[in-house]
Amino acid sequence: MAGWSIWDHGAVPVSGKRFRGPIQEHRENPETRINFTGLFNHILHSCSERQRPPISGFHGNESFPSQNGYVNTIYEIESGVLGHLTPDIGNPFPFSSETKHGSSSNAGALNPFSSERKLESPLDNYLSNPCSSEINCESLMKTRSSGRKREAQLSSDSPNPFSSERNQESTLNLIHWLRKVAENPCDPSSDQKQGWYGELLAQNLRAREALFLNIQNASCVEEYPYQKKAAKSSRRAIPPSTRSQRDYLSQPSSLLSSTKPDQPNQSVQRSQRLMTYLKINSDKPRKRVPVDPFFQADVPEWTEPSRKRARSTNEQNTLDDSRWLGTRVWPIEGLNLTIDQGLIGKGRPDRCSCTQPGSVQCARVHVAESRQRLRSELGPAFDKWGFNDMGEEVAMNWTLKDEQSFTSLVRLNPISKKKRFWMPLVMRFYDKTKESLVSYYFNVFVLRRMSFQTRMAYGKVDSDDDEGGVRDLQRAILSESYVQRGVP
Amino acid sequence: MGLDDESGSSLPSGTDAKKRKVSYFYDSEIGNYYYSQGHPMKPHRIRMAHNLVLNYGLLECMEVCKPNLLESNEFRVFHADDYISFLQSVTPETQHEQLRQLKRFNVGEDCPVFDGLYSFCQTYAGGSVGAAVKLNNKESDISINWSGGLHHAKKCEASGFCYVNDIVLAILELLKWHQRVLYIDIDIHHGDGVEEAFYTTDRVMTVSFHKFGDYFPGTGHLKDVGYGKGKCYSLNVPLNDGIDDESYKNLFRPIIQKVMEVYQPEAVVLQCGADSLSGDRLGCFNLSVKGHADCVRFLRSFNVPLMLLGGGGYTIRNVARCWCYETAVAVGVELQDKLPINEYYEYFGPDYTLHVGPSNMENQNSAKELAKIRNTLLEQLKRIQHVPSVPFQERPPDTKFAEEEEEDLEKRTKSNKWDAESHSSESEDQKPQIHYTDASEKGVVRRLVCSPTKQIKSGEENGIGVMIPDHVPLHKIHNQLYSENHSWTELKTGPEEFLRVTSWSKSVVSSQNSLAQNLTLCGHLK
Repeated sequence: MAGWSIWDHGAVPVSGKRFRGPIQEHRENPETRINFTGLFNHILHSCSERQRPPISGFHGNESFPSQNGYVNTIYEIESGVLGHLTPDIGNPFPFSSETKHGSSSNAGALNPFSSERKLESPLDNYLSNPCSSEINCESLMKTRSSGRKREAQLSSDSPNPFSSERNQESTLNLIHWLRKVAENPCDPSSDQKQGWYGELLAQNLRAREALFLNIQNASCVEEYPYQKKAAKSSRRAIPPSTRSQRDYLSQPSSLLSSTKPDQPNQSVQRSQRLMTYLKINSDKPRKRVPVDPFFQADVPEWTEPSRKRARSTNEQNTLDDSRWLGTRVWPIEGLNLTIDQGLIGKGRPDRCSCTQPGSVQCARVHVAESRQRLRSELGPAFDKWGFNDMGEEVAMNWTLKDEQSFTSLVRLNPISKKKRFWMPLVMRFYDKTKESLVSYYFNVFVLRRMSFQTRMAYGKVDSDDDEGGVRDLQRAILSESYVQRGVP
Repeated sequence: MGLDDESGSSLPSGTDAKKRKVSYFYDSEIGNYYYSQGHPMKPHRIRMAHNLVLNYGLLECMEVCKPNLLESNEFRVFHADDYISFLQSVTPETQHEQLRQLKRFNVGEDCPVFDGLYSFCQTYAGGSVGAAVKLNNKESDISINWSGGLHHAKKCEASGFCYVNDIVLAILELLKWHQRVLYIDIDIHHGDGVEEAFYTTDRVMTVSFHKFGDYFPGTGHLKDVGYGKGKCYSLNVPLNDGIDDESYKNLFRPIIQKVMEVYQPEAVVLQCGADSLSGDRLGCFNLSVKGHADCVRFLRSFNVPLMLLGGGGYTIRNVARCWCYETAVAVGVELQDKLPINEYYEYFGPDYTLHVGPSNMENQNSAKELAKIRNTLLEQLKRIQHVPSVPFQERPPDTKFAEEEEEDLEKRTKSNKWDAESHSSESEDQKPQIHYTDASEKGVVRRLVCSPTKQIKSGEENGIGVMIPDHVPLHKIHNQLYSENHSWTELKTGPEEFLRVTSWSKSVVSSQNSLAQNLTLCGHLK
């Protein structure tokens, strides 16, 4: 869908035309009031939903702007409201500076969050009864002079207790407050935790929780994308539709206490993103197999093929058959290459003569030896099977700088933060083909990452976990000695 | 461990019963196809398996071929023209212009558009068809294509990471030279694409062992036995989580033994999906590599031309281990457990061994349930005529309905756990099932088109209907239609009830394809 902008917040369709937001409406028609109700609720809603960024331009696959998006929204509101709000609009918000000044001339729930005022406000009503769907800002507004034309307001019977100056100021306060909330609602270091601001904060969080959080989906209220601390592990609450996986995962911890290091289940973490694959709708009735020529293959009746249709005599058939046989790569005709029969089925020797057996260097040396051996045994088949495209050898075509960039880009765009590294990679390495990027990824990047995972005892060895071991890999790559050059 | 320590049931074999001629298809490009970031299907695993095979020295024992790419007309032997054209034309850059097609062909999410998608399909399908031709020409006893085995693909749509169904294409090739072909699927997911393709024929028998119950793809019920001429020629073995080697063997061996005796296939295709292994990223069985390979070992012992194909498998180092070991089983070589040094050695840490044992997860299949399943299937096999000397009987064209099972099975399948115990094969209710056929005789029965959303006017010219024979109670059809919010009118023409369910507007029934899109009965379409 088209991006969201400040104009769209709280937007409603207008007779088939594009959606028009409340601020835009006000701008076009200054006599109307800004529908702060819809605007406020909509901002709250969209910033609470982790999935949908509140700002335009982002589609499902792109980075979630999260914190920035929320803050941007607030900046836009600020500029939008300040730019277009006419001062004669009565301040519908209760967060006015009046409270600070302790003015007693305010009617109604001037500041429902004020501890001095015990009057019930719509916001209080809402918080005590979250079943209501919306904070009724309308009734808030009714406690003050309603929006009228500037002239009308000035001459109204019930004098506007607020001068236009105060209106703007209180609106400004609102905007500033919203901005602070956007930046970090849970910031423990905020020195404005005290007093009314702190209360506002707390109440805002409760309102958000009550309104928008699906408790099943969030393990913790603090776990928001704009949270500054590092993202939690990929284990998340499991939606009920994938019960089978959940049952499996809820196996007692005996799975994890298994002693075998390469115990398969230890390394399996069914992250939520994996469970988006191969979903079925279990609410539907049992799936049946459709019967129709539209679905079945066309199976001819059996006729005994004429054995006289000898493959060597019928040229047409010979051509067809030989095409399908593919190209034989091994054994190679005419070449007298022999493989040591004693090596068939043989694994690696028990010991090696390296100074540090089992180290990364030890493994590399042996891989290089085995490669040499295969090259001599396979002859032309060695290239045909793409050995130049296998293993760390692939890195020979990459400069150290390129390797460092690759590792950094992958590290900075982890999938756990809903980021994608392929587009940045493709853009950075515009001179390389996508195949070579994929090849480097599997042959070098994942391989090295796993060598770190294995040796650093991270607890699990997982070829799909692009984040485990990357930091160490990155550090290692910075040291040239790790990235070997000139080793055959 | 000896090679043929388990007693197979060899048919008369050649002079050297232990050795088999093996052809192995591999394309070095396969490893660089990349579905999308985070996608569990990684063709790179095939490259890893190949590297292990080479480093174990198995080359000496087999022939290795690079497959030919399948051409588009060769796909169309099974797949729909427009689907193949779509696969040829779509690219990641242009896919946003074809949103409707993407949806129609189920491409974009589980089956994303990626660079080289079409040549990927050509490669893996070419390998499978090549493997079939090797068997046809009797150039090998066993042929292998680990890049194939993508069993979910349908005639007109992609599904479950599969775009074209190489298995169906390979079987169609085998059927040119073999009268009967047996297909066995040990992937954890039901082999729905292959079963569906051959559901109505007796020339192919499909047997699938899979997890059933709140699990993709949702088909594979014990009672799905085939239809028409193909009735009793589809076997489904529904299982629960955590099945281990012993339980699996106690199902696999007796059932396949019986199948081989009764059906006597001239060729066997085994889809060796490795997601039934313990610790698979998407799977939930508890088989070890040895347990998985036991299926290969058992089939090999029958000495019937055998094709081994890949399939699922999402913990890629275990996939490589499994398929390398199964290659060795095919060839007849035993492998040492300590992995040889290879280009992907670091993937196999920290132990760097070939075999990975099962975990201690709970086996949710009780012995009693498994016995029940086994007995049901063995009973089903009894209904098949042994290979006859006369051709199979033709069924009369008007009886197009299959017997059905109890209605509460419907409810049971919604739960996570498949419950074989409370299922009875004897007291079946004749629940009617609406099939759509395109029989043009009498010009009456046409494709069924229903729309759940709009009011249907009776008497519309483009009404589609279905004939209902006498013995099927009409009210049950009504219930089914009603539960799916369809409207219908009844007509009586001759001795049979005729139910005309009409579409709601002519514009909907404008093309074959939108007809297909509107088909919702029988739980076919999403």
